[in-house]
Amino acid sequence: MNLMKRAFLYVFRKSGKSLLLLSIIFVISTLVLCGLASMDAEEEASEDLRGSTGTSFTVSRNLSTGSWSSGSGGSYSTQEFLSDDIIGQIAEIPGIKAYDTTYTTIFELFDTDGNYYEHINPIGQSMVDDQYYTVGTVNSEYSSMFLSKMFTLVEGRNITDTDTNVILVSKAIADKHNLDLGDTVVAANDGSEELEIVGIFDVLADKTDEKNNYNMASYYDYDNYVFMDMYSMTDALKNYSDGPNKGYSSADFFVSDPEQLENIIIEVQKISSINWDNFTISANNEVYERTAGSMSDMSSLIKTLITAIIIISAGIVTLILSMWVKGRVRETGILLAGGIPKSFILLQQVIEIGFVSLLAFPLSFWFSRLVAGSVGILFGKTAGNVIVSTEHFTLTFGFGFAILVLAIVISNIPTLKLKPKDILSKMS
Amino acid sequence: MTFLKRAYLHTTRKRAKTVLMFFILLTISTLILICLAIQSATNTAALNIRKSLMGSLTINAKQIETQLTDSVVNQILDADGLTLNYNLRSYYQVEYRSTDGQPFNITTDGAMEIPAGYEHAGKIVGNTHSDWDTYFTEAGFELLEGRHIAEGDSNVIIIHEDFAVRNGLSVGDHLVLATVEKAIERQVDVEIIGIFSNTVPQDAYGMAPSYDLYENVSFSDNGTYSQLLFEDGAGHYQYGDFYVDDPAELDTVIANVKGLGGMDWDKCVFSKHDAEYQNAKTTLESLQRLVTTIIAVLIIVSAVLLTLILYLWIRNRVYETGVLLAMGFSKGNVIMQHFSEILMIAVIAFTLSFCTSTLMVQRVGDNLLQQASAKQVTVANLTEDRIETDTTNELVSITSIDVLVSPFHLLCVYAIGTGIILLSIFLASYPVMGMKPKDILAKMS
Repeated sequence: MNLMKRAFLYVFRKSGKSLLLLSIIFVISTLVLCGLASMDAEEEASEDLRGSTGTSFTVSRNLSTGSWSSGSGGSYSTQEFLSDDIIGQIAEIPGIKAYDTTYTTIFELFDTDGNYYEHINPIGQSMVDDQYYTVGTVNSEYSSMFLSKMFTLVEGRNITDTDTNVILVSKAIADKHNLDLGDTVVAANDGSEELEIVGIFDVLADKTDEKNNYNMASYYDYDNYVFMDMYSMTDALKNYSDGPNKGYSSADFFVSDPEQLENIIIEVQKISSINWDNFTISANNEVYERTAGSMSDMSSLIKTLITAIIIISAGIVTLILSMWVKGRVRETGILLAGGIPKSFILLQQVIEIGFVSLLAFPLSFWFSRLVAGSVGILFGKTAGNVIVSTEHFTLTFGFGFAILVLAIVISNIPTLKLKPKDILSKMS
Repeated sequence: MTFLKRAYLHTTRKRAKTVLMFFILLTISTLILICLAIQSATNTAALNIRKSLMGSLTINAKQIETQLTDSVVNQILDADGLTLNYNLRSYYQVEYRSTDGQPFNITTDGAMEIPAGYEHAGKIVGNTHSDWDTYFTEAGFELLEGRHIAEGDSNVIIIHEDFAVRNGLSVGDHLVLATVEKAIERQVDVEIIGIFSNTVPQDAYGMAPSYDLYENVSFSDNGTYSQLLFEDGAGHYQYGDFYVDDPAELDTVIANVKGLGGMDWDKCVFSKHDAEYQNAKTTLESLQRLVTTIIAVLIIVSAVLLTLILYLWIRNRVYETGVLLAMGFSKGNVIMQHFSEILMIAVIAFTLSFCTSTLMVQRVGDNLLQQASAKQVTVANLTEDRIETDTTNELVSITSIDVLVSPFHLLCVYAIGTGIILLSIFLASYPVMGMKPKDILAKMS
């Protein structure tokens, strides 16, 4: 009887045992696959965690290397401004998830019939009461008021870099004048723009805390702030000599992974079309610096956890398999006495395991995908789904089978060293 | 023969099986202990992350007559969950005079107006730590000479370079601050300990009253404020910024503070500063949940595995079981025998696993320390110097992570382990127990 036939018969006659072995391989393989998928999920989550620190770098005009001039409002720098082009080039560097730049000035707000919208805490003079502190922004989500959670969006959405003619107003103003999402307001400075309200924000900060009273912003109630898209603002101020059409004094670029901040800044400085003598780059990674140590601790711990489980699972399977082999000492003895070479006996057992594995591993792949889905939900959707990939499967099948074969070989060594006579006498 | 004695005999006689079961139980319990130890360490790491993200609350007590007093501040600092870091600040206007009573000159270029009575007045920011003030951290002020105001300073002032030059003052000179409201006439002598300037032009040109112009702003200590505007000789503060230990507890801490007596908290404005924690909260919690889920899955898998193995073994002993049942032993008795056999091994295995897991877990701890020192987070000096990273590092006190297997963990393993074994025995015995002795013995022969 040849090798294959004996292996086949064994597996199917000892169906109970085979089923058990199948179950054990199935369970452990599922555990390992889920473990590998969790490892990926952990990587993703850790990167998200690092990203949530809001790490960014700011490119600004280098006033110290530029020359100065004087005018009606005092002296001012003639240093090159950041143009849309420059900002666009920097934003294309991989690893930068968003950017924002600001230009603030005062706009008056009217309805489409020309009546002005009175702001919060009016003083009774229409020339003053229709003034709003207007922040021109590219991505309002990354504007400092929203990042620091002084303001929070309560309805609608943020302004993004593809928007034109949009505005965000405060809840207080929206309530005062019965404004809703989709309504049109007219904002006027030099030119006037018709803008659609796409979002409403509420003020969380203490409006009366004087620590913020160091610039013009402090003379306006937070409720009298509005956010406008940069296109509209540039258009309205196009006749200004120092309006946004001339460029910006600084822009903030936010990175997805603070670990890459240094590399990203290096890449940015390599952009040859930008004259870096005129600009400075400063990193805003204080939060990441404070938390990096603990975050990396957490990541290491979780990775160790998963690795320990995977390694020890492999150990358990080996243990169980060796018990299996021990149970077949008698059979091995008879086969040896029958003249079957040792290598064939080993091969037979390997093939038996092969049959079982061929069924167990793919089954566990399918099952672990189901389980991973539910684990993913328990885990929370922020880290994406816990996905078992074909890569994981190949890894597990490959290593798993190798370990099983190794276990069989090693467990058989003591038995195969003995002569058939010793084995059989040992048995009876 | 009691089931205990039978169990003992079986265990000691079937050496190979016993040893195998011992190793399996040892491995499983070691693994679970390692996981529990890592889970505790992960929770500490999560706490450290929260601590590093920092959180603070600001109490605005300007509306109350007495504002924040020393006793209230001390009560707050004593409350649970607060670190000892805090900053007290007040904002007010004074008239600047020389020590002989001559008023000093202020800048008026760019002022929207010079209110009557304020021709020689400027804004004073009283601070516990002047280097924490937003003028320095956000508006671009920089200290040029001397030093910042710190806790313990009394009757000191830091003035703008422009003001110093305009009035011929330097570090070490004295000047007098006088109340502007003539209703209460008080004055305080202060010493100049520093001179600062602004690096970014004030963007409120033409909008600010004269006393708000950067050149007319000065910083002083809290004591000076109290002496000028209050006559009871005690400390008074308009705003207090208090840092909490764990930003996840910020709401609780605020509730506790509001519960302190002696203050009309309704008239105060509380604001929270925990944006960084809020941004990280969801992801952090999901990472912690990942760990818990992994451990839960592990325990379930162990139970399944054990059941499978025990099922095979008990099936192999069908004959023996049949004989015992025929002899009159109850099913419960036989089950208890199987249970005791495993439990005997388990108790030893679990106890030993404490040692094995501790050894392994130490390596994890060492690995962590190694990684921590190797990975110093530095962003090379490609960038402008930033102001104070040192200050913020002082504010955060990290708990060191010890990866340890605690007795509590061992207790958990005993409890969970025993539960799993019991469950496994029941499940594994179920099919066999379902049969009558006659059927079992018939099946066998």
